[in-house]
Amino acid sequence: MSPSPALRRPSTARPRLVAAALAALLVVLTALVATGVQRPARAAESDSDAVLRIAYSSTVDTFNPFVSIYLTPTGVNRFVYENLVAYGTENEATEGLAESWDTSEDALTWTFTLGDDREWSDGEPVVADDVVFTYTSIMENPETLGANHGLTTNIESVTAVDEKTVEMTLIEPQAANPGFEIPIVPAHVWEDVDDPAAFPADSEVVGSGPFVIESYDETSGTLELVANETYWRGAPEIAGVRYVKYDNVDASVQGLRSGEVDIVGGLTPAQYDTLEADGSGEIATNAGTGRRYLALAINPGATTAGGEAFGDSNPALADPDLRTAILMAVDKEELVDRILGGYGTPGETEVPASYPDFTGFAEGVEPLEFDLDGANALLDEAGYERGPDGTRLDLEGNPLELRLMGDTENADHVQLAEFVGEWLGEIGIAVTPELIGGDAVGERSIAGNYDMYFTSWSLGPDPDFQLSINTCDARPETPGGADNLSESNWCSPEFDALYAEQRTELDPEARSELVRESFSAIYEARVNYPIWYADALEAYRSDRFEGFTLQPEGSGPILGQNGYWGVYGASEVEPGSGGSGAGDGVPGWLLPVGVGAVVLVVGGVLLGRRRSAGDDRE
Amino acid sequence: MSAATWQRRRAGLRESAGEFASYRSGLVGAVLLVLVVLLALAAPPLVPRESLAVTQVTADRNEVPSLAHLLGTDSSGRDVLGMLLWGARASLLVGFAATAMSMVIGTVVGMAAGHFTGLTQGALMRVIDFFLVVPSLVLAIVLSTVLASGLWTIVIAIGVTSWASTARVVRAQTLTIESRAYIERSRALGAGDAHILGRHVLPAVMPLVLANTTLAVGAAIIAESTLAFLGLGDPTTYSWGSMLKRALDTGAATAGFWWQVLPPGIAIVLVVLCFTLVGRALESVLNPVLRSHR
Repeated sequence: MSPSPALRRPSTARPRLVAAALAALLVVLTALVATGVQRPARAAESDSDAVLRIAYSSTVDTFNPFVSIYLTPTGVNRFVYENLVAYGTENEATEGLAESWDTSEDALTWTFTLGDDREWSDGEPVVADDVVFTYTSIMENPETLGANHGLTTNIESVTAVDEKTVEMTLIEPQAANPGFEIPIVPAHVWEDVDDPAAFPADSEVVGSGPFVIESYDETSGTLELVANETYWRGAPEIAGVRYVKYDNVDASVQGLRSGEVDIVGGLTPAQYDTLEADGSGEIATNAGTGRRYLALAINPGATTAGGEAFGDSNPALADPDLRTAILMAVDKEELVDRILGGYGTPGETEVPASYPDFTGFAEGVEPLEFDLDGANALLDEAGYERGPDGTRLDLEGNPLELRLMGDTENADHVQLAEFVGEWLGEIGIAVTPELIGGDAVGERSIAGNYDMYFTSWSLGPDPDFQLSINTCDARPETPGGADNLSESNWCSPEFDALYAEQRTELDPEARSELVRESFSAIYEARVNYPIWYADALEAYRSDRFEGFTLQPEGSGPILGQNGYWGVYGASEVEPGSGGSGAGDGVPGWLLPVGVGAVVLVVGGVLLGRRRSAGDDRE
Repeated sequence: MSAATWQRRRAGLRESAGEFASYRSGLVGAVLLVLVVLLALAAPPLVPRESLAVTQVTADRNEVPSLAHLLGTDSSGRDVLGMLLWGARASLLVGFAATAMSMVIGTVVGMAAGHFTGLTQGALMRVIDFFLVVPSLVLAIVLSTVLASGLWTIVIAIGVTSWASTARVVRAQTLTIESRAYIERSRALGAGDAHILGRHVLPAVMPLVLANTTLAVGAAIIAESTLAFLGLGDPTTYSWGSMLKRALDTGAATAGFWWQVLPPGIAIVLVVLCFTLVGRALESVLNPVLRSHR
């Protein structure tokens, strides 16, 4: 088999081509590994001054407090800008910039007195003008500076009575304190900004909270915060906070184990169990009661504020009996058990169990129980007969086929789709799972283009906002318009009346009951069925940090609070001990990356060989 | 067609088969492949689909391999071995379907680009060049984002993006065939484009396409797994790529649930390796350039 001269060229060229292909592969591989396990550069040995390093992997839009709506930057801004009134460790109203506040007899005028010791991090005192500037900026520019505009719609005017007194006049009485949740910015800095909407506010920020932003590197995603020495409750014990970006939670868990980061949130049950069983004594875990619900939403037929129908939902879903039967086929306990591994609470209304004042059903509400036979009986009774293949027919005689939308990047959604699809199959409803990108889910839910989908929402201590997005007014002006704020594309005048009533009810107990009635009304409309309130699963380096304050105390999470308590309370265990963490065993991420590498190399050799056999032939 | 032609072809086939058998690695690959295909076909009776229904399983989540579950269970308590078998169906189906698509496009365009001249050829060659230059994975990702997610979307995404190199190979072969005297003779006898392409060129390029196909299936299987792993497929269908994705999304890497990661990974490597071995052997037998002993 000696090659003839004519064949020499390809045969000598072959190794070179394979080498080239492999080299190209190496680049691809390196890129893959780099994106999968992004290892941020560590700032030069600054461990000794106790910087708490927080791993994150979610999106950052901007740190501009007027504009930002994403979870991570709004969470960061809770550290940077104190609100007029803060949420305490039990989610109660507590001193923020204001040390006291008062309501007039008619509940239309709120007067806030700023504490004398409140200072900006540049040493300037916090004055009433700062508050007036912040609120009026939002109220006058809802389009450009309106991230928190929803909280100001009931405010008529905000005025400075004297240097330390602010007066707010409301349009109608309101139960929720209007001082909550709006980050107050320093007027003396922001007045000089030409275009406040475009101001990045991510370096050498002047703030009033326990930490202020020092710098943000957009490329690596690393955010540096330093302790605010002038913070009125007293400077934090740690020197600062560093947010370190990872592309996935698995990578950040490895970062935690090797000591690259100090705290990781958003763990899966499997990761949590593994870290909990970690015997090194370096890592502690915390399963905090979550403030987020996950629900199965059913499209009852979206309409505009004018009552015009839009969207492509299955018209059969307008029937409440059908929606009830669907939800009766969802076993919440089983889902909490098998998907969350028990780290969660089966859902009731949209208010998670961590808000005792508002969670739970109103009196007289019958919760739906998992009952496949009952669901089948209900459908039989309502006239949905089984077709030849076992799939039921709708009242028009078409097979009952429903789409179930979810976020393909969310492992919970993927697993939920399998469970719900199988259960609905048992009651004769054919389900087509549509797992698509998270942005596409958002777009389609706004456009009303869904039958059912998985949705989740974090709730603040005051439920007003969550209720407001269920009113008829939350519907869009035009079909599928971007102004569609409606949570479930549902509208009920009875609910709107309840909503208005709770909003102006100033007696806390009476309001609690009204809020429960309002959320129960959503529940009974069968348009949004909370499946669970998942626990916030977190792990941290207990050999480096301790003293995290939970919210609520004793049961809540460290990160993602309605406030800054968790990180503000942190203190170093043993100053300067950091050092290089001992990596225990083979890093888990090596496994899949290794398998991927083998696959790619084999593929690469294959491709390289194909080229070698084909290229030189012409 | 005369009996003599058939006889000649049968003899040629027999000769090729005998030659193929002399490549031991190719033979091993072929035997393993037949085994995998048989297992994939036998999946429904071996592992009834109901036994993988998440609402029916009785096993715990993430069980370690045992006699009851040889490869353990996944995050929903499903048997990993069962999913592996079902996943073989998706991976092979996508592999074959996408390759068929890519081969048809590649052969037609390649033959046309070799046969016609002038503007037609120029235009076709630029189209081929475009698809050669654009990174096919990126193009496939874009395609599967635009189209609705599902197995067939992946088939289309791979098929549409991977035909260009086949077209180049086929074109080269077409050029050499068409320079032969017998083509000129049939042209002189009045044969049209269709006759020349269908009767003379196509049979002559077929062996090459066949060898190419076997190699391309492996690449398509990898592409399928990659796309599924990146979350672009339908995550509720069982495929090796979606098994890997599920394992990573639920934290199997951290927890050390190797039985959820290694089986699909090794299965991909093994099947792709088999296709490569078979393809290489076939290529050596059928490709006139690589056929060194004549």
